[in-house]
Amino acid sequence: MVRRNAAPNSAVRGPNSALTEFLREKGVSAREIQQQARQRLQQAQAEAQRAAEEAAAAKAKAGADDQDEDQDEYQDDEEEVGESSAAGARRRTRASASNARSKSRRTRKDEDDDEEMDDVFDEDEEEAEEEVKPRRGRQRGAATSQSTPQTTESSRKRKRMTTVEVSLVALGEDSESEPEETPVRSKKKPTKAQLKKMKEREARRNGDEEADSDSGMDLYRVSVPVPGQIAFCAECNCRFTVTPYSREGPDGEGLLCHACGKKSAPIEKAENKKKQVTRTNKKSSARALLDGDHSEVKTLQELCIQLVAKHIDDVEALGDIGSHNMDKICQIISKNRSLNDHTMKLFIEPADHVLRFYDCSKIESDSLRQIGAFLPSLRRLQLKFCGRMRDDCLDYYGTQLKQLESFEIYGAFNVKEETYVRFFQNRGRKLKEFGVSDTSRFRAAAMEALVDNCPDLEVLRLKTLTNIDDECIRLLTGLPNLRVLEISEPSLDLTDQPIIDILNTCGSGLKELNLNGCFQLTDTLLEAIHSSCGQLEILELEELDLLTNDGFSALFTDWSINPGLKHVNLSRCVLLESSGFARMIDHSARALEKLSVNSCKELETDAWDFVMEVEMPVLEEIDVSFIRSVGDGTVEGLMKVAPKLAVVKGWGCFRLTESVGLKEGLHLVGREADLLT
Amino acid sequence: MADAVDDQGSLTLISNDGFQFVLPKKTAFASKTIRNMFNKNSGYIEAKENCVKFEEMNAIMLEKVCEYFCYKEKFQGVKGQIPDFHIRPEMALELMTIADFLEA
Repeated sequence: MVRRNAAPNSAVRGPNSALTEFLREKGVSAREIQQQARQRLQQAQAEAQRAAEEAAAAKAKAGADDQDEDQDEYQDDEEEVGESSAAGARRRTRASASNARSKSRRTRKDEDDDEEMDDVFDEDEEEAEEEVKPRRGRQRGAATSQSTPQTTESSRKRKRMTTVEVSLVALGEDSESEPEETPVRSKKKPTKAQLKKMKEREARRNGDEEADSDSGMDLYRVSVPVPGQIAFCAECNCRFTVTPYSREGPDGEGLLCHACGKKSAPIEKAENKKKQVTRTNKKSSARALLDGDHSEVKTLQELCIQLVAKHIDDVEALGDIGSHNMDKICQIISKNRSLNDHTMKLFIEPADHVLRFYDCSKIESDSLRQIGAFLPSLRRLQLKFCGRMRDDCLDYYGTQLKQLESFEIYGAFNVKEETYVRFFQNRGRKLKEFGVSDTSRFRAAAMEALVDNCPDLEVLRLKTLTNIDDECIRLLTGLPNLRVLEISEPSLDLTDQPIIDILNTCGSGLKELNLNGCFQLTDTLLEAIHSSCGQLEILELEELDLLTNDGFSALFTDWSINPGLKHVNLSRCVLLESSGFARMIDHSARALEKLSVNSCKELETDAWDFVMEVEMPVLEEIDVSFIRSVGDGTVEGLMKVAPKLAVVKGWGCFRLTESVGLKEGLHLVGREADLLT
Repeated sequence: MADAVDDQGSLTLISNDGFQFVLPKKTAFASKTIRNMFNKNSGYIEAKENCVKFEEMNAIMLEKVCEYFCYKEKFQGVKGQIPDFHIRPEMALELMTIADFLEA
């Protein structure tokens, strides 16, 4: 503070940059000046010593009373006014000493500027300082071009800003120019970290200055790092010039030389980079938000599918995988709804005889067409949800797939009836299996073509067709070789008679009969099944709520021509009672693999008591959901009589509790206790 | 399912060729299948032994799976750019079937 205070009064106050240049031209370096100053200081001290000795001698002569005190004070301060005889010499000493001090101060100041310029060249690499450089150059240019008083002012400002040795007094002097200065300063601050460091240093200095406001302690200042001074590195102990950017030592004491400071630079750089990265993250996340792009971690499956899709053309890169795996992969991809024009290529291998696409909803008609082009030897083709398929595609299949024996096309609601007719005309002779679903365009004409052209048809699945009526169904009597017949969930009401007619022609060979959701069917049908379906293995009569308990009892009583059903689905046949159920178990117990009596609410405990007494050696799955009589004992009993039981579905069975003892490998699905706890 | 799952501590995943991978439970529970195994209600023996043996996975695959678990844990909920998870193309199909099994 004192130093600063003296500075404006000192004679050397010219344009600093000009002075620095001048000094450089003359070959005057800061070090020389400092050495000279030091020499002068030493001389002055020596002089003072001599004067003091003289004074002491004089004092010794004068009297011994105040000698001790004086000596002490002298040693402390060198400035204490002594006796009158010594006063002159002392005053001289003080003057010379202060002179030397002011000189050294001056040189130090010059050094400041000199070093500042050096800094610019020295520390170019440091990112934080890059901003500072051009600004300085600009200001220096401005300073030299301006007239002298302004220049002094601006140079003073510059010094204050760059070295941040803002003395309170100096601030007080420049109080008028302060407001316009502030924005400039804020612009100049390169980083927050640096600013913080500067502030710390400033605070420390202020504290120091308050502590020793006496001008006598000027020399002590050498240990306080001031830009421009020579200091010793806290780490490697080498000599170096302090700059505003010198880093502090590791323990907070002293400064580091440029080389040592640089060592820690990469860490800070990395930190800066990190900050930048987070900033860009913010930006990109904002962008993602605007784009409606949800940047969440993808599941491993998605990642794999993406990768597969990416390398879809390069089959070898994906490695060798058996065909059964390909079907599994197709299922997985379909499950993720990722089967599209691109991924479907993975599954098109010319040698294949079987192709199943489980979800074609994202495959264009033209891509589906490619199946016909690439797989002419296809025997079995199953396409689900192929709502995009158009007429030309099915026509192409009709001409192309000459080996086709099994064709299932589900959800192709765009394909017209005439196209089906043409397809049957082209391919009917070889066709053994056909399935169609979810279309209103498959009507009597298509059915007629099917019956006329496909005499060998064995499997026919008609699911959720909207325009199939009794007349249509009656046409199926022309297919004597049927093994599997499915007419499920038609929109129009179907009555017993046409189906009985069918059973009369092909019932003896029928293995599977699925009439789910044909609500109007009655016990008459069950009688027809009883009399004609000797080989029936799979019987599905879901939701046929007109079928009575007596009808079921009659079906399964004395049904000796049938050795036993494997799958029985009587879900929501709500009139089924314990007696009918017991008849069914009695008839098919040894063959039953899968049984569903979902929602057959009339089944009472006596039904289960009956089940406990029969052996069901091959039963694997049973659905007893929504039956009140089912409890822990029922499931435990089923486990005993059916050793192969693996799945028990017990949704909505309130009496199934946690305490039911399950054997290993048995899955009890839908138990309330599992869902609520 | 109820949260009868303790996600403290660690578990061991063993490949069919004998390599063991020890993971924090929390990380491994990125897989629903593994999580369900450790549900106390389901009574799997794995839950007691803190150890799952995968007969259908070799060490290379299991390592990748573990890598994915860590990747997922690290970047779950992170906004903005997420670095890609690298899978070698030849692993993709097998890994996909495994991922399907693990519901990862």
